[in-house]
Amino acid sequence: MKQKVYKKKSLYKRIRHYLRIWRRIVKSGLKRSFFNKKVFVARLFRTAFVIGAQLLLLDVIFSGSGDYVGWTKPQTYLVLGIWNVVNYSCWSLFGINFNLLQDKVLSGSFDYTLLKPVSSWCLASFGDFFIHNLVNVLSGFVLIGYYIYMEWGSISIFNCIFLIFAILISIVICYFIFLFFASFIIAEPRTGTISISKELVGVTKYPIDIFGSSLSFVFYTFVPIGFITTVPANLLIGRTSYVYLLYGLFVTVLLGIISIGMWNRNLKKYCSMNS
Amino acid sequence: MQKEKIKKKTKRKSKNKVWRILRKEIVMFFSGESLYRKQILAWLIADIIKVVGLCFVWMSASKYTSDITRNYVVTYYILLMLISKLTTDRTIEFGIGNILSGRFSNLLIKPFNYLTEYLGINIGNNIFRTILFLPAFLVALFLVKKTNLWMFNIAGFSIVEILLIALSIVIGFLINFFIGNTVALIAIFVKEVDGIRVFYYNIFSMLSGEFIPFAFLPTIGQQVMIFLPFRYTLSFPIELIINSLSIQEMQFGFVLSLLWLAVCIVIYKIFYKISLTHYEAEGL
Repeated sequence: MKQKVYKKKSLYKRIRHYLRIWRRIVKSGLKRSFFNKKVFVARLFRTAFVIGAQLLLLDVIFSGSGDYVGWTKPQTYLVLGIWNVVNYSCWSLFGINFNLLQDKVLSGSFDYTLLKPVSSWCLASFGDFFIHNLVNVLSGFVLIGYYIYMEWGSISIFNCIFLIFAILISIVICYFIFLFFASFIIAEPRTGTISISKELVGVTKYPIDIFGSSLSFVFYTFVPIGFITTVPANLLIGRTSYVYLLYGLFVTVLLGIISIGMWNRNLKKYCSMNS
Repeated sequence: MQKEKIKKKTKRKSKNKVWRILRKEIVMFFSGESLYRKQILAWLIADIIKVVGLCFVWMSASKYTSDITRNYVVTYYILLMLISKLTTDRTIEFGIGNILSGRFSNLLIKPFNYLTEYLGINIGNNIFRTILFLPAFLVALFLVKKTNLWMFNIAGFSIVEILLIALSIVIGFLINFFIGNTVALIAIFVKEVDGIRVFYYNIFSMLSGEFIPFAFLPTIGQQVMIFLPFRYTLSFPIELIINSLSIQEMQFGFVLSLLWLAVCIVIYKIFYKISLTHYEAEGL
């Protein structure tokens, strides 16, 4: 009984410890961004351009008809908005860290990551924070807000709560997809696997229904990218039952076990170089 | 008379020298990159995922338009994958790194223009990636032909048409190369160039016809794209292959692409001169 209490306390302490570390990382990331104001302005321009391009794309797609594989224009805005929120949050939190992992392995500085008294996959993925990408998340909120404004009468509070949970799940799914592909870099640098995860997440910019039923099945099971934007959007629209949220949670746990297992497996193959 | 002869001889010699350096760079790139075949393979898979995604987007969109067929979309994107391998410029990737690390100083003191080295790396990269992509291209071609989604007959081209397509690819690559080199020089003024680099890629994929095929654009969009250089780096060669252009459009396209190439070279040269006066050779 005593041991159980000790275990619970230890886990709580560990989470607090990790959160404290992350708070420090965010603070230093913020300080650095204020230092580079030119980059911040460039990012703002880029955000405006990206939104313009995305809206133009949707405008061109909808020029022939008001319906696109069963999705109306505001609904595709919603999908795009969720994608902007999820994708750019991912880049801000861990995407760039995974991108820099190869340089760390090649230069030998990954050894220091391993020496620190925190989990290696945690520090490798959350070791730095990039506020610039978080600016783009705002565009996502604008698009989601537009959909809610347009369909105000048909959206319940439960749908909004489901959407928040679904977005959180999709960020975790993206994280595990990135972790899975990044782990191969540790065992063998210059394998370029991280680019596959980028493109997989990139595909979810559009509703998964465009791929037809057989490919959609794959995207809800073996490669669960359907949970990144399509399921959250369907939950807000009210086309999908909340059971999908539970199924998404199950898929996330499964993907997490696979990704962390793969990370640990590849970590065993890591040989320190250049240090 | 003799002076002229000597001048001609030295000119020929320097031309041979440039060619030799270029060849060496290509060979060196091949031997260097062949060590990392897995990386190239992963990039290819990533490219295929991206293009297949876009292909599905526009195939679904083509259901609602009467002028563009599914065959056009599939053919366009399969050719886009091939042409993009040939016209890609990677200078932004390594050129910025060279400036930030100080290696750019080494290139400046060499007895030949550093662009020769960059050109060699890019040609090597493009040939290498095209060779690796060919099996996937042939498989895609076979599958698409079997499902009757292919649009044109390769054997139906005349030699002149093949030469024109090759010329458009070369012009596209050179435009890309000079724009890439101009953008890379920004690293001399701004040290955090990552945002600018990604911004450039966004503009390129939007305006070159990768993100939205030229045929899908509204008339105003098409008119804007015609007068910008990006179309000639990707979409124009594909349109030539698909044979969707009239002779006038083709002539106009070639004139404008050559004009853009000249403009890009001039802009690069001016920017290079300005940049050198600000270059502080830091990072050594």
